[in-house]
Amino acid sequence: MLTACSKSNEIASFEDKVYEIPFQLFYQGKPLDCNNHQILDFRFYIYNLDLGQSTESSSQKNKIHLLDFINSNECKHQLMLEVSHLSNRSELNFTLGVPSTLNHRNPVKAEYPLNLSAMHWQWLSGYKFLRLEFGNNDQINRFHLGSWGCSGRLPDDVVCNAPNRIPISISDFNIETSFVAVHLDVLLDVETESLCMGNPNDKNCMNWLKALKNEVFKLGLVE
Amino acid sequence: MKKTVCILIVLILGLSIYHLNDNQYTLELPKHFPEPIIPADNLLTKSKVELGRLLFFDKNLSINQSTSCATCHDPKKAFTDGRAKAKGALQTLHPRSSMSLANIAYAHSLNWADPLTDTLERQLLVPLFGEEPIEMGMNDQEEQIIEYLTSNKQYAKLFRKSFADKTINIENLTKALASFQRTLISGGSAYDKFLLGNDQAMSESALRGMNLFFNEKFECFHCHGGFNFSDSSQHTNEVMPAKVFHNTGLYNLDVEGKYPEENQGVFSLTQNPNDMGHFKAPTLRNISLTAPYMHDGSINSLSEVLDHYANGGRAIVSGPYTGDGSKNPLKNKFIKGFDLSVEERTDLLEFLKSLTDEQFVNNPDYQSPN
Repeated sequence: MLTACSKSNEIASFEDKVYEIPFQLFYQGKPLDCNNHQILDFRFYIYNLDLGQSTESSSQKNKIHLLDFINSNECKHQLMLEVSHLSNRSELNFTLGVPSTLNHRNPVKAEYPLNLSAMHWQWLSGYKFLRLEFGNNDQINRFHLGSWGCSGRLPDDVVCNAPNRIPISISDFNIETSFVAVHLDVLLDVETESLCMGNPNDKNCMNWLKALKNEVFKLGLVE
Repeated sequence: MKKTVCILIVLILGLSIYHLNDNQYTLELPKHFPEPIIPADNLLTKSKVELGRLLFFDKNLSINQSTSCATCHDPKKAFTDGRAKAKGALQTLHPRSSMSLANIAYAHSLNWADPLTDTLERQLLVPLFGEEPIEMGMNDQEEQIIEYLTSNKQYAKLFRKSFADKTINIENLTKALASFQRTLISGGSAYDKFLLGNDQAMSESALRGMNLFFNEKFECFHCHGGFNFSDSSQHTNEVMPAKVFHNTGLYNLDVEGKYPEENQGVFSLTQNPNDMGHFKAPTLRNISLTAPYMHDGSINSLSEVLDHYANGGRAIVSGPYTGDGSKNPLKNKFIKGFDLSVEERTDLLEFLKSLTDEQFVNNPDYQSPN
């Protein structure tokens, strides 16, 4: 009977407790120094944040987070995302972007964080999933990622042939000791002035997209 | 006591109804015009239209107070600006030409080549907040806009009067501007007067031109037909209109129909190769006032426009846009080219001139409040 008790404790779900998942910016292996960098803007949306939540937490899962690290007013090298209803699974999943069910709705009617003109692509009637701008007066590089190749009817009947949403999966994630490291190196490594908007026919753009998928979001361990 | 209460209730109701009626806006349409589709959540009221008009002419809605909606949409030019390509507040050139807002309430889609944007409320987010290119330059400036409007007593009063939630926010701003634009009705040209029974309204030449415009040799009416001379117009009697766009053979950079990178029409949005070079056929009303022509202003005069269609497309013999548009494989099938006599040219041009509505461009309701 004692054995049975301890077994059930091991697979208990951590209901109702609120956890914080840290997201930290890294450059060249070190946390980004907010006083010494050339980034003008770095923010992105994620949703479907999932660490094996219980089924009761679907509203938590559907929540859209805007990770606003750097904008014209401020710079933060770390952001904390509050999540609850976790189980002890060890794979952290999330999708970078805005879900298709919300992507083409009118931003002026939306609630934060979907009501920001800076994160909307007015001319393509959808959101900028990610906004990265860096450089100086001579050369500013801009990476505004969004869905491309869209047709249909606003607001809810639109299909895009290059949705450009990026599912990210981080294994061995321990809620007590891990964080998400956001490595900026590959994103900042461009030679010529660039503007990428998610056009699948643009080679520079596709390199950036590939880097986002594979080289940016990594497991970080608290030392 | 009961009687007094009764009378009071009737008085209060009466005053409220009077007040409601007092703000009601009746859109005056020419007899021969259908009803435009007005969204149920943004019905016209006098205060809303007046608010929209003030906003339309307000340069403080641009990042450096240099540019209002009216800068690119000048009432005297039927709400265009006389430029081949529009210029934004920071002097950036737009790839395309400002479109006329005459009868914009009837547009089935806004912008030159955008099947998605089908309401004025959403369209104006593009010039206000857009970054590619910068037009009014207000991206990320929502708070500043609201601060400005709130601090202005006249605006604050009009927002309170126009909206049930009495709130100054971007949604209500778009509703007010959309409402003003919906009142821009142009149906008083010489051609309209003729249609309504004035036999003297059009010259003989213009009448001959009209018959040419609507015949099967020139085929103009196929894309520029209907009460608004545009197949991209819709109204309350038209159910589920298809959104139409056309390739008119202006370019052909690679023999397969390619248009210049910055202006590939609907293709830029959908990435569907069949949409390359497809643009809206805008209204021809007031066309004499809205030179230069085409989406990029690349044709200077109406006579040269006739040459373009007579040739079945444009051949460019040198420079970066070299190519024969008349051989564009995606060109609309009605653009086959035709012989154009001197008299036919004169008559067609006279007809197009007869579509100018002097009353519209001089209407004080559509001018700057200052």
